Amino acid sequence: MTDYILEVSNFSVKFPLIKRGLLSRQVGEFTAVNNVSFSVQRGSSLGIVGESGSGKTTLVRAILRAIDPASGSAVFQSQAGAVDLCQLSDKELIPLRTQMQMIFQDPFASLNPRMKVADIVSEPLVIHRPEQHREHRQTVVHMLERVGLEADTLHRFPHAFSGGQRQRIGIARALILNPSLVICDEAVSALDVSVQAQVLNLLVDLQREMNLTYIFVAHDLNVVHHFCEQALVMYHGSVVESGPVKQIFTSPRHDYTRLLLSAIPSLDPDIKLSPLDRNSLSLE
Amino acid sequence: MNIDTILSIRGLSVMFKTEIGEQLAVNNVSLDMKRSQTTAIVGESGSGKSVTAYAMMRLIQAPGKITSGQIICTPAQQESFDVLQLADNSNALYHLRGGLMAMIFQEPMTALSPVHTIGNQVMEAILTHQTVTKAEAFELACAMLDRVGIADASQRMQQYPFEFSGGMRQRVMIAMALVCKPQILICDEPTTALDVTIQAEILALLKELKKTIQISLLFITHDLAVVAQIADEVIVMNQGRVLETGSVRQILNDPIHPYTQNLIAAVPGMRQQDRLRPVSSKPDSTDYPSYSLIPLKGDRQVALPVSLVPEEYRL
Repeated sequence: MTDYILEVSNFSVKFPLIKRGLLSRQVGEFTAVNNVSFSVQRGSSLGIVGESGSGKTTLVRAILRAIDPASGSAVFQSQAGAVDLCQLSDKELIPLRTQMQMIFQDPFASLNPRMKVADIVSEPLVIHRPEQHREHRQTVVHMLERVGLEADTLHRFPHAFSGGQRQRIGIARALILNPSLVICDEAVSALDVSVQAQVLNLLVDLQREMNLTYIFVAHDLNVVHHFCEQALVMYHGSVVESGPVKQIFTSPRHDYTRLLLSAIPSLDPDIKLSPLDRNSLSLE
Repeated sequence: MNIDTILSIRGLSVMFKTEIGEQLAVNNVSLDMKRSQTTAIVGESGSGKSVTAYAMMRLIQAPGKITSGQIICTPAQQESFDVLQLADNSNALYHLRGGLMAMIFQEPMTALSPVHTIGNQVMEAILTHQTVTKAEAFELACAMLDRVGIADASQRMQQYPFEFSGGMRQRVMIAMALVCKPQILICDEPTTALDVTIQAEILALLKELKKTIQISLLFITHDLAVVAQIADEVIVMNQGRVLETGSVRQILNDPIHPYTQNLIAAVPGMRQQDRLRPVSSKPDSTDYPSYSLIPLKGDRQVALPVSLVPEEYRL
């Protein structure tokens, strides 16, 4: 039997549309994620691709319960057994947070400029494992080494680092609690191609060493093709296609996937970019 | 310098004074832009590609300083002149910025003013550089927005940037840049912040505009696939120096400099490969020692000693 770490079914997220003013009231709702179902195998990487506004970030944030979903279930295989993340109260979620972590897109906005690297990376430990405070320093140094940062970075502030180094700090912070599920929300989108390659290689190494499962949200299809085994294609809040990455890239079934693939520029100057015409496709 | 070169940079150096001493962001750079062609400058962050472009429009501000060099501009049917010799606040410099050269920036949300309507922002460019009435400026702006693919232009001119999507904002930026009919358009990472489908639309628009209005494009990017699609000539920069120049096919299909080869290998793509090869293992490395550019066969140049260049490329 396949070991699924996360099984999401009939998952929807809605935002209220509110009429502003003295008599503000809800005038409707906007469905950002519409009836999405998928599952993720332990130790694998699932890519979620789509244009901005397709609901991919909302989906992963709602799975982590940063936003409350409207309906559906997300069953997570925690160390203490299977739990439905959608049914838990905020308090019950706290111990689970150590097992699910997030790496953010913007390495400039996601690190507090007033905190030193040592404090940023050890903050999850301070919150979740305060009783082991004597070992925190050692754990932080070890984690920074694993992501390729020297121990002398401990007492510096985020502004002293380049984009790639900051992203390494963000990765260290996400992994310091030894999570099993890591959600990378556009984790390499803001990086140069060379630094991006370094960070992607690092993520692959860490996945092998720590048996991590990644959910990889990206708009760059090449990155997903390189990094993931399975992928979801999202459009207007719905999953229009899912399956093994190879199959999606070589024989896409949905018109929207074809449109996305046709828009990827080739590295070969002789293969001219000829994106499909959006209006001629049946996208709904 | 031959006649079809619209812009020629010779020995340009730009220095920034920082806490850790004086840093050369651009170090003795020489390059040529051919008329009505697309020249791409490729490099990682910190390679000096944007600073080179800013120097072309004399937009380097303190603590930065252009320390040496020449930027010879030869507009159509005009005498050539050195951009760096123009006096600050001179009319010629005003005409250069926006009139002769225009620039499109990476992030269209920060480049547009949030408190002015789209129409006012496009008209401002026209009113600054041309002697026309407001009504004429409105018509010109409307026609240009229509030209870059914004439907219902006269209605949308009343709207503010937040009412436009990212791709539409970038179209507005292009309209603002083109409305004074510049001869050189500098595009500083114009598609980096956009979705892949929108990026394809913007690239198609720029290509089509280049063909119809005979503009010379300088394209600054770190995305080699975008370079493959739009560029005619490519300049590879690293650590403020030019490492290799040549046609887009020479650079992408047959790179000589190890840095260029590594940069291409670092692109994740459809090729089956287990691991990406980053340009260097450590961030901020200076693995590539400085050599001066030498000319090679096929009108290309590389910054390597002759002994390291394979025989078949040597002159």
